[in-house]
Parts: sequence; structure tokens; C-alpha cells
Amino acid sequence: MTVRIVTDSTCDLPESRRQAAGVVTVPLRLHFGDREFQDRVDMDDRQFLERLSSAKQPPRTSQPPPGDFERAYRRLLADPADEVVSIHIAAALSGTVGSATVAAQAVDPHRIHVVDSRTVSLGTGFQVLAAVELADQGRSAQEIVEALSSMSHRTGIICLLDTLRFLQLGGRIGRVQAILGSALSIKPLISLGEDGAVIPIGRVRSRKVGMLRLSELLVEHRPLTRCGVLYVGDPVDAEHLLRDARGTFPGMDILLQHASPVIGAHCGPGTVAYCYLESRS
Amino acid sequence: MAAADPAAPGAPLVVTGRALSQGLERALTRLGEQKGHINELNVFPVPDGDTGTNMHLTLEAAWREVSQLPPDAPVSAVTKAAAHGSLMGARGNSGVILSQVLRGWSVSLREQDSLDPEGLAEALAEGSRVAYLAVKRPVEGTMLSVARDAARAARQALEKGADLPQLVEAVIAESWAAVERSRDQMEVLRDAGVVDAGGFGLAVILTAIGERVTGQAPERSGRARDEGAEISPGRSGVRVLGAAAAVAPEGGFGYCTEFALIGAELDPIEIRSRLGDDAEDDSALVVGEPGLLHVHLHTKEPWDLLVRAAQLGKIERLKVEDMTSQHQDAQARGRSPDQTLATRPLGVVAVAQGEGFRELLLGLGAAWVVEGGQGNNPSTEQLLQGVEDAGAEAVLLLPNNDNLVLGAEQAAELCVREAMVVPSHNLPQGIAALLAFDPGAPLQVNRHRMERAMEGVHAIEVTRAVRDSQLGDQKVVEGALIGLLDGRLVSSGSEVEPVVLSALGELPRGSVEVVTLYRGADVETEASERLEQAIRERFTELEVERHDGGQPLYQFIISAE
Repeated sequence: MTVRIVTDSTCDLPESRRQAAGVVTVPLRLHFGDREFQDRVDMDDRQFLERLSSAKQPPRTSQPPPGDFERAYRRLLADPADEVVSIHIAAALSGTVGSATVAAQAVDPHRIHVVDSRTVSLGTGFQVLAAVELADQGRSAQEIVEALSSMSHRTGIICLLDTLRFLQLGGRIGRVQAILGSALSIKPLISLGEDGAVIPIGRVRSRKVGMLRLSELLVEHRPLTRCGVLYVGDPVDAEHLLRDARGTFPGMDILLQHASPVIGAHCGPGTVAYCYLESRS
Repeated sequence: MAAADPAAPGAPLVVTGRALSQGLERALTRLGEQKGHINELNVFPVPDGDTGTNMHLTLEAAWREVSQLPPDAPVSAVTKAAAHGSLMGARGNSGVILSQVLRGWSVSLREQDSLDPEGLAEALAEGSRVAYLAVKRPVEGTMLSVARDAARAARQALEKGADLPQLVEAVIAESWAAVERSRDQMEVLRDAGVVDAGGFGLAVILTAIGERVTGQAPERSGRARDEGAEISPGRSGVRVLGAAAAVAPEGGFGYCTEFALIGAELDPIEIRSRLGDDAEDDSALVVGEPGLLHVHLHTKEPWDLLVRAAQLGKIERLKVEDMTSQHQDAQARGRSPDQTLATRPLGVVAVAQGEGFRELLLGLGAAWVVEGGQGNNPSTEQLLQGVEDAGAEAVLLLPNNDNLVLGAEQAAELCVREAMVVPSHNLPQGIAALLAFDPGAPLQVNRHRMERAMEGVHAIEVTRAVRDSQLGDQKVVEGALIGLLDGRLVSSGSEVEPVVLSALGELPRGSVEVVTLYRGADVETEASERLEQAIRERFTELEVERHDGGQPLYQFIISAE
């Protein structure tokens, strides 16, 4: 009996890591005008940033079609003893969990367990890594799902946007609406609530102050089991955050990742963030 | 007519309540005559002609109460009325300090029908002591030094056996000498070659009262001349007035009861004992002065407490809350917003001038904006009203002006609601603080975060010099544009752009990312656009934003952060 792990392109784990762990990744979709791209398949970070800067219309994103999941699940479940745990971006942010669930129903609802990570990016990625470890230890799919459900409230993301524009265009503004209404251009600090919806956690006028705040906020979540730095566009500020985090958590393996184009489309260039997994208290 | 009335033939002269009251009236007239002059005494030639106006308005508020008294009112009643009036009407830092001097007099003279040399010396000493308490970090060469030195002169004269006129003469002489010394006591004053404006104002008041009560116009020795300066006490605040709250356990749930007690002729300690056990409990807070007290305590029987309080004075701004149900209410409120509940748990009250700033602050989440600022300081009472108008259970006050920090502290002490001051010294600081405000976090946490958020925010203010002055070896003529960086004069010229560019150049490179221009009421949009362009060209790495502040007096207020 083997438990296979499936995730989607927004989990932001390095490809090498996903491949080594045998994790199957289903891409979300990105639309620039009439052209559709598969996230991280036929559009990488550099191409995305180039297209974004020249696009007349903001890009749109969409969940993977259920057929993509069906194909993946059928391939993984060839052995009747195997099971799948499919871990995805928060249902509050994307229809991906919905697509995966539809596919699971069609393929084998008893052997496929779809998990709403209630977070995004490396937050989801950390849950994927934990699931891989548990699967390697021989845990059943049911045990893994239970472990993940107690983990979702310990994973989080704290994010500094350069502007609210992209979040607004993408319709994921949620309660962040409350901090609009000002003539001043502000840089919002956002996080995700319990259900994975975007919530405001602060507002600053300069990046420098915003980054200091991010580092302060990260410390408040100590002790951590995992940590990662996420960015869209220029890596310089993210590298700065990485150094800060290394100072705070010496010896920890801290990932530095460019966000997937789909995440980038909603946050916009200039975004930097910490993702973390709090230790069990 | 001799103003000082002999108590008995051959006995030392004493001052009656009537004479003191007339002395205060004369001081008000004198201060009115001198206020323009005092307003001009500024270290920097900025049009914040506040010190004279503020002291005058504060003394006027004192006089309004004194003038209501019957002509034969004793000295104790006169000083009490003056203290009370000035406490409510205090404007600006200088007004607050003056109100504390008057409060000290009133405390010292609370049982005196008339004033003899001994009583006068003690009152001056107490006035000085109380005023020093009001300022967290007292500075030599200010109104405080004048109050202290005048009191010391009175004590010395008394020890030498001086009679009332001699003692008054010594006080007047020493107060002017102290004003003269202020020129050398502070570096800013010495550099500007001026004396302290607040000290000058207090000397005017002491002189006028002295002249009236002794019925003569003593020689002024070393009368300070046309220069002086107000030294703002900076990041200072007012301490708790009257009895401090002691520390002790609090017994269980009950009712949180708060009110202002008006007219109780007793000091806070006496009030505590009259209000009963709950008030004597160490967690109870009874602060203020006799006649105007703020009571905040927890009791299981608020009705009994209020019956006792009503016998002592008039109850105002009463608030009784059931602490047991409060908790449940707070939870319920989130689910079903009660339309009749207009109050929010926590709100920010900001002081600002200019429609643009007003809208900006409200847009950023301020609950209320009190109109006022440079050259137009709201009184403590107006700030208190703002705190009430905010419709919040607890309030954070952003004074947004150097000269309003003390007044805001005083308002926070006096108000019935829980209130704290985030000592923003200018609007850019205030806006940065407001950005960090989180209505969901507790008051203390917010104050801490907001104070942190103000750090690293620089303010550049551009205005016209109201008199000639000196900037290094450069002469600044009246009417010239000047640039102040965080309150310090750093540039001058005839055009806005070079004044601003040179002020921005004073900031360490790399310490600033975003520059926001707030255009004054009298500035054309084009001028603002030109300035933005000039800054972009010179400092290519900066983000520049333009807004309408609508403020008077200042062509531009600029935040650099």
C-alpha cells in the first residue's frame, strides 16, 4: 500500500523537491487576453513578469479543469491498494479544491482524499512536505488527512504587497477592502484568516518599514518548524528577509522561492512574504 | 485707592480676595497688550504666534470664572476659580503650565481668606512645585524657571522680614531677572539672542498682580526687551493631577462607574473617604482638583455611591457599566450590530487644520478630527469635547502639533473615558501613527505600535518667516520662505523648490523612500506639481506623492519616511 501525494502549481515548492518526493503537481491556468497558459508549465517566472509588464489587460487565473485531476488520479491509482492525498490552495481563494473533488468523485472517492490547506503558496507546500514524510513512514491516507487538519491552523503567510491594485483586480480583496478608502498610497500587509480568506494585518507607507514589520510579525509565531520566503519580481528584498529569518532561526532550512505566476498575478510584482509552519505547542 | 487693605492699624498689609481678583483682571489686560509681542518671541521665525495668545486665552478662562464670584469672595475662592477656569480653558503647552501654577496657588491658599507675606511666599512655592510636576522633563530657562526663581525670591525676602510690598517687589524683580537669564540658559535662545516667551508671559502676569495688590508700580529691574522665545517642553506630558491611584486588588465583578464630580469642595483624599469603601479601595481612581474631580471605580452598589456623590457635588458625564454583562455584550456585538449602539470600543481623535488633512485622517480611520493646529490651538475643553464626540469608549489622541501635546495629556487625564495620547508632534507623524492603528487591538498595544510607527518619519514644513532671523551665517529676512525639518530651521530662500530640496538634502541618504507633499490652502496646484517634479529630478530614488492638505500658514507640509 502506497499513499501518493498530489498538489497544485501554487504550492511553490521547488520542482526538484517535488520530483524527489514523487509529488504530482497539477497546474492552475493563467489567461493573458485570449491566450491560456499552464502555471509553471508553459509559463515561468521570467516570462510571466515580461508579459505582465506589457499586458494591456490584467491576467486572469482559473482552477485546473477536473479532467487534469482525473488523469493524474487514474494514473496514480493503477495499483488497487494505493491511495491519494490531494492537497490544495485554500478553497476561499480558488476553485481548485472543487475541481479536485469533482475528479475524485468520478475516479474513486474512497481512495482519494482532497484536502483544503486553508492557506496558499509555501503554506500549502509545508503541508505537502509533511504529508510526504508521513506517507514515507507508512501512514494511511486517513491518518495523513487527520494530521494535516490539525496542521492547517499552524501554517500561515504574512505578506507585504507593493500595491493593492492586483489583489483588487483579481477580486480577492475580501476584508482588505476596509483599509482602502484612503487617498494615500499605502502598502498593505496581508495574511489569511482561519478559512483562508485574505485579511488585512497592517498598512505602511514604505517598503523598508513594511519589511521590518514582516520580520517582527514572523518572530511572534515562534517556535517554527518550517519557514520560507516568497517573492514576486526582484529577489533583492526577499534575500534581505531570508537573512533576517536565518538570524532568527539559525540552522533552519529556509526556502527562498519566486511565487508561481498565478499567485504573482494576484499579488503583483514587488510582493514579499514569509510562509511558516508553527511548531506544535 | 489702596488695593491692599490693612487688616488692622499697624499690622502688616494683607491682600484680600477682591484685590487679588482685580490683580488677575489687570494681568489679563497686560497680557492682552503684550500677547502680540510675546507671540513674536519665537526661536524660529515660524508663524506659530501661540505663546502669548495661548497664555492670554488661558488667563481669560481663569478670569471668566473669577468674575462670577461675589466681590467679597475670599482669596481661597478667587484662586480656586482661577485654577478651575484655567484648567478647562488651557491652550497650548504654555497655557497648561500656567494653569498648573494657578492650581498650585489654589492648593496652597485653599483655607486663606486673605494673603499675607507668608501665604504669598508659600503659594508661589506651591505654584512652582505643581507646574514642575506637569512637565516630565523640565528645562532650565523657561516659564518653570521663572516660577521657581520668583518663589525663591519671595522666601528669601520673607526670611529677611520683608513686608508685603517689599516681598512683591522682590518677586517682580527676580522674575524679570529670570526671564533675562533664560537667554543664556538655553542654547537655542542664546543662538537666537532672545528670551523665553512663556517666562516673559509669566513675568507680565506676576508684575500686573503685584502692582495691583500693593497699589504701586514697582521698578522693573532688567526688563527683558523685544526678544524672547518660547521653549516648548518637547515630549513632555502632564502627570496625574491630585491624588494618585494606589495599587490593590479589586474585589470581583460589579459595576464600572465613572463620573466627573463638579463643585465638591474637598480634596481627592477627603472625597475618597466620603464616597465610602469602594472609593477607598486602592484600585479606585479619584483625581483632579477640589471642585473638578474625575472618579472611576468598581462597585457592587453604584446607587449607594451615587447618592453619596450627589451630596458632595454635581455629577456629570456619568457612566455606569455592568461588568458582568459587558463581556457578553462584547461577544454579541460582533454578531448582531446594534444600531442604537453608536459607540465603538476604540477610536482615534486627531487634531488637524485644513479640509484635505481632515478628510485624509477620517479616510484613514480617525473617529473624529478636532479643528486646530498652528496658531489656532484648541483648548483642553475643546479637546475633551472631541474625545466625547468621537463616540468611542476608549480614545487615542493625536495632537499632531508640538504645542498641543501637553494639552492633549491634560484632556486625557480629565476625560471620563479611557484616553491616551500618542504624542505626535506634527501631521506626518500623526498620519504614520494612524496607519498603524488597529481598532481590534487593545489601547495600550495600539499606543505602543503607533509610537513605534512615528519613529523614522520626518516632517518638513515650509512657511514664511514672520520676522528677521539668522540661519548659520545667513540672514533670513521677514517674509522669506523657510524650511523646518522636524521643527528645526534648516533652509530659507525666495522660492519653494530650493528650500524644500535643501531640507530634504539634510536627511541621510537612503533613510527615506516615500515623500508626500501636502499643499497648503494658498498654494496653486501647479506649484505643487513643479515641486514634485523638482524632487523627482534631484532625488531619483524617491517615490513622490502629492495631496491637498488645505492647511493655513504652511505652503507645504511634507512627510519623508
